[in-house]
Amino acid sequence: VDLEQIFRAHQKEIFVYFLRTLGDRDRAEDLAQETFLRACGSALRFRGDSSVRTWVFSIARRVLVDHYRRRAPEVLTEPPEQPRPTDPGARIDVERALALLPVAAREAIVMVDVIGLSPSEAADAIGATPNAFRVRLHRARQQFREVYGDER
Amino acid sequence: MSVEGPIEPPLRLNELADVDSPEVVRAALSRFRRRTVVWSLWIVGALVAAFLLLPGYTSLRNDPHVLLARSPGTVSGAVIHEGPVQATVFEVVRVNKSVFAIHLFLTDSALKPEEQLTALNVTGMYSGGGLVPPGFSLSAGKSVEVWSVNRPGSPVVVIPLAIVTTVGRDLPPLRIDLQQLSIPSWIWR
Repeated sequence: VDLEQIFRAHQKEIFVYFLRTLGDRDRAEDLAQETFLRACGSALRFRGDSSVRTWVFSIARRVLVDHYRRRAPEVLTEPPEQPRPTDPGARIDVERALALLPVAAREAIVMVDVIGLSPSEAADAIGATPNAFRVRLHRARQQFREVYGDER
Repeated sequence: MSVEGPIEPPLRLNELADVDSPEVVRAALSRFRRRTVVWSLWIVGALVAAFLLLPGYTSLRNDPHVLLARSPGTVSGAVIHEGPVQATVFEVVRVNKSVFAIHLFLTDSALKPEEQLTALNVTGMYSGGGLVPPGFSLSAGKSVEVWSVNRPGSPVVVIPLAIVTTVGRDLPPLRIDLQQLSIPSWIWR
């Protein structure tokens, strides 16, 4: 099995997961690389109980949690990412709206509404029950609509 | 809270996924390979160190029994009589470039109870290994296993013997002619 080929199929969405959850391109790149590094180490233990996509996302989730643990003081005090002035207007609003959400809500929306994971896959990846995740997603979408407006 | 009823419409934010992704997989795989190599080297190093530092292993290396047993040589079985002493040449081995050794069993054949045989330039062995200091005494009716450690060059090995008693009595030395015993010359030469 060519690991590189398998991982490459998920490279972009893992990067997007970190980019849209953290709002920092460099950090997203580092954590995406860390995710695949850990995936290499645990590839032999992957038993195929879930899809490769869910497995890789579950690793990415742990990398994100570890990242927050390490950087907790800074993350709690740092302001939400501000959109760059060169971005197109509509997109800036969406990004700003996402950045204003709590991390858990942002993560749920990024997984399902940005990347396109099914709620079940996302629930598997973060280790929640499908129902619990649906509740979280529902609340996250509500929060997003409140922040962004109701155009979408 | 449960989410029942019609399926909630997605937010359709998939345009946010339209970004240029950097190459992270190849970098991760390279890092993994490097890390694997480093770990492998550490593990191999640790194993080698553990193996070398094992006390049992080092004591084994220093054990003269093991050292002599591992040396190449030949088994003789020749018996030499000298006065009250019977010497059985069990084996002769070449320990290294500068040493060869004769494995002997010395048995008294005619010592009186008050007499004690003394042999010089031989090395006895404790039962647990380790060499006793050169020279030993053999009491009447007993036998002892000894090694005579010698420098190569001559086929004749001389082990001075004496009987210690209340009345001293000198004996001729014990002569072992390895050439005569058909011991290959590469061992003693």
